[in-house]
Amino acid sequence: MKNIKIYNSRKRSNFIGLSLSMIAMTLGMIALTWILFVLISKGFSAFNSNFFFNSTPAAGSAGGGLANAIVGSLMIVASCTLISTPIGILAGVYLSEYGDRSKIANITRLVTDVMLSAPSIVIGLFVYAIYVSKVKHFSGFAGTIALSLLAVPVIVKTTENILRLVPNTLREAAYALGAPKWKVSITVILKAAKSGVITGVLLAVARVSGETAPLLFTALNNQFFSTDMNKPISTLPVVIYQFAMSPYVNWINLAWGGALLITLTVLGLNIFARVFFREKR
Amino acid sequence: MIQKNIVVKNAIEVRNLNFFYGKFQALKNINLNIVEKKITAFIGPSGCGKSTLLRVFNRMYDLYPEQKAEGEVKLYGDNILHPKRDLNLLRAKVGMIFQKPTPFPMSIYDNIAFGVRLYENLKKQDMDARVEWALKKAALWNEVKDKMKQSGLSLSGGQQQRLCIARGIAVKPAVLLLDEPTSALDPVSTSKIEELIYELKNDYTVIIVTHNMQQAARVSDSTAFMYLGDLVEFNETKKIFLKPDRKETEDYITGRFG
Amino acid sequence: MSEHIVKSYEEQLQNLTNTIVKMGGLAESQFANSVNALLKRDEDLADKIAGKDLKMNEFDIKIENQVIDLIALRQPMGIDLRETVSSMRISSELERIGDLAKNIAKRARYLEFDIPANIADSLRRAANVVEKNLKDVLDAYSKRDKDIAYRVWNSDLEIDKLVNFAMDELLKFMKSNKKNLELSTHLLFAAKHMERVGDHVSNISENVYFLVTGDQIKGTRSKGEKSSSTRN
Repeated sequence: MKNIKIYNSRKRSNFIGLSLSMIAMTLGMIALTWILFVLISKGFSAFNSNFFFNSTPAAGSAGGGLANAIVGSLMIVASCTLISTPIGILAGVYLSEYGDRSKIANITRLVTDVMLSAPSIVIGLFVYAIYVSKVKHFSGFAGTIALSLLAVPVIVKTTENILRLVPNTLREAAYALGAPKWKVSITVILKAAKSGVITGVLLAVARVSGETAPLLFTALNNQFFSTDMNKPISTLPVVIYQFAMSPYVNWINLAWGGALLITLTVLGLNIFARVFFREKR
Repeated sequence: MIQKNIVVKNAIEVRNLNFFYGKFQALKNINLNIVEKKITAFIGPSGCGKSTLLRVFNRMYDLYPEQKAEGEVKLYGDNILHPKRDLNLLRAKVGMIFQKPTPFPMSIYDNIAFGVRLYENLKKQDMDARVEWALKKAALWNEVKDKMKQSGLSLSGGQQQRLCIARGIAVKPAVLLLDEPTSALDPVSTSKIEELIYELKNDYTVIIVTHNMQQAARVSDSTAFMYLGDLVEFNETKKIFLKPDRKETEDYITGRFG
Repeated sequence: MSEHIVKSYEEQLQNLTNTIVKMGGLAESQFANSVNALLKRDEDLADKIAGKDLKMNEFDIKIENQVIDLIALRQPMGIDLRETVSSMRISSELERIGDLAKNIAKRARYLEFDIPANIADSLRRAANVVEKNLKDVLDAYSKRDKDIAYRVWNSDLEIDKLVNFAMDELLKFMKSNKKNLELSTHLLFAAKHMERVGDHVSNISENVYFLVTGDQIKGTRSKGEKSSSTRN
């Protein structure tokens, strides 16, 4: 009974494959829940009104909060979103609709891929070299530029991929009416892929909002509450980085709270993106 | 025999047309005339070149750089294969409906108005009238008149296809190309579309590609049988389905294809 | 012609052709027997013919059902469509031939005395041509031969001529003696029926011609004589 043999060996390899992937998934889940558990147990106690309304305390002084860092982070991430979204989407549209196989498009794709995998600290150094060292001071703008450089490739890549998923028949249908290319790309194709593109943007934002390294060389930090983007500005990741390594208990607690806040925000953005912009059918 | 002098106006004249996908020759020296305000059907097995030929008429193949056509295709005397030909204007004159319904991600109203806005500047009430006219022509008006603001994607498959036909005729093209317009639809929707195609003949030259021979037999005036990139036989539909001249045609229509 | 991709379709069409051929064979023997029964006043044979006519009607119904099945389920096209449509028409022509044969045979019963030799001869001559044409047209059908079909169609006038000749003789015979009246009347009907069998054969030839060529037979029959007025 040859067939039974083959069948049994297939059943075995199927079982092994399934088990391995289950183990991998469980490891991932354990890591995630562990992180969340530790963060919540250590950080949740930091959440109080001071946390949200007071600025970072001076070394050695008690209490304080992260208001300056929260606002700083929000400002930098928001301006980064404003800058990188149009650039990223338009570049993605170019790659998917216009560039197809042209040289410029291929180079753009290559550069995008390199940027995607470039260590973020390199981006921070780069902005430091071309901007901060020229104007001779750290600033929120510099931080925005650094984060935008990180976000744009993500948006370009997701936009291009999402647009490529739009069936060609829809493009042909629009061209068949005599519509010019830009009109087809913007009013039909981009519109059809709207939810996917927005998801891409949200995921990019979620990604950069936790970046620390590029901000160390650009926005630096500010102990005081500031909304001046041309001055050094405080951000959550950098504050966490500094406070977590300090000897002060209240700083360490604030760092845990900040870490929990960022994690929850990123998690929330991800869930929001997935739930609200899921492909509707 | 008395030679009758009937004035037949050709909407499209194809002369020595060859078509290539890269190095593969998909159409071989095609010559045929498409008579104005008649329905012409292209039939043949998959890969015979019938859809390719259809896509030459609005130069849809131009979207793909590896495809090219050689020869002459005249639309009312103008060679549409001329490299300087404005493709957008050509496509506004030669509409196309596809196999799968392709409503745009916008309201029913905007779906119809989309093409009209490209080339005409109509006042609101004129546009309303045009949209209504097109939807009525496509036998869809009664089903959608109360939900013009709803997304075109909310309609059923058959309605979506009629929406696409309405969108195609709203720009008032001279020729309408139908690429297997009912292959994704149920029989009732198919009948509605066939009835519609028949109606369209009064105003448009219609060319339909179909896998369904009975459909070609039902709706068309002339039928072209294509095989392996050749135009094997082109004749009155009745003749093709009753007593074709070529053995290949008879084998195909009777289901004897080897 | 190569075979259909769908074997059951091929079989269905083959069955239809076979039924027509069988029915044609029966029609042939029915007609030949009916002429024999009449001319020899053979009442037993006449009875047998009447019995077999039921079989003809069965064939007709069977073919009609086969044709309806084909049209409803297969939507035949091209040669298959011509085949299907002409089969239905040929079958009803054959069925009519069967009826006429039954009618001719029936008259054997009512003949009071033997048919005079000269009249029997002229009836026989007409019947022979009809028989030959019937046989030929069935050959033409099974061989898909348009030339034979055309020849059969064209020779219908010859039958008309022979029948007219027999009828003239019958009229003379009728006028010669009152006693001949009844026998002559029956034979006049029989002669007329033979001519009508010829007409049905001619109709079959038109169908065979259409089956093969997709066209109707065109032109007028040669010899240019006025065609019989009995075609109805």
